[in-house]
Amino acid sequence: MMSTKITLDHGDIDIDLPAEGQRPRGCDWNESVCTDTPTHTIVVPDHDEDASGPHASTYCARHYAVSLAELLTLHVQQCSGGVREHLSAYGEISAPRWL
Amino acid sequence: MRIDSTDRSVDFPIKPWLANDQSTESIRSWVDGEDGLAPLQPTLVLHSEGGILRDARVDHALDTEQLEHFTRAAEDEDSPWWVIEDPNTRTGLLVSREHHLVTVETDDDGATVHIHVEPRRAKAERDKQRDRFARRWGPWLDPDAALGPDQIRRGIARAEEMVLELLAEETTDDSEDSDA
Repeated sequence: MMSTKITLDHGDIDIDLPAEGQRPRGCDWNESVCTDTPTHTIVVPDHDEDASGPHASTYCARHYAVSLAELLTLHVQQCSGGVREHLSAYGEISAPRWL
Repeated sequence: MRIDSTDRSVDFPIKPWLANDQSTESIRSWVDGEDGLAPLQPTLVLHSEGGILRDARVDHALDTEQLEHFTRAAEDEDSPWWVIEDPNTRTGLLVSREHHLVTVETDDDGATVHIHVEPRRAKAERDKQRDRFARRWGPWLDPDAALGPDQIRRGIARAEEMVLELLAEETTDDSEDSDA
């Protein structure tokens, strides 16, 4: 399959980005740059009116642990509703545990 | 209150309000909570793009008619209640000067505006929880801190245990409620 690439010229730095839809899915941790391969997933329910279903994020092992802990110790504690209101599934990408 | 962004400036008039007798109790429940439930936390989130408001989310706010019906404008700036009006959604966030804290956050170069009204003690509790979390998980949040495989395995086990603990607590709470 031929891959289409877009080249952004930032002076001396050329950055090749895969075309839309071809970007490899990395760790979803957004507090810092993480290029580790995702191994785990956290699936959260979508409560919006136009909800398209649960939303899955994928993380490397380290950021999975801290993201799950943050969800449980901060988000769930501070919001109304129980765990299932905030978490649909968790665990390894290949075998998520559904609540 | 005026919030400036790269492509848009928004004015949120803040006015003193005086609750009338009928509304005093209902408004107080916003601060104290009601029937054991957590107090309501008025929230406004606005997203703009190219200077145009694209979407807005408002929780636990009063619309203009409700504000006019339940309250009357106070001339006295020492009024215990204030309202932050949002002309975009024609809603108002009610603020108790004594009991509330207002947090205003902007993101995306100001294109996202988030105004959150919460009881002072809820904010204090939130800060305490965040502090405890940062102490427990600090190294995990620090991109310069290296963690070994065993440490990561233990962290995953601890986080996943917490899921089961919380589910068990909820089951216990539910059975206590049904026994009552």
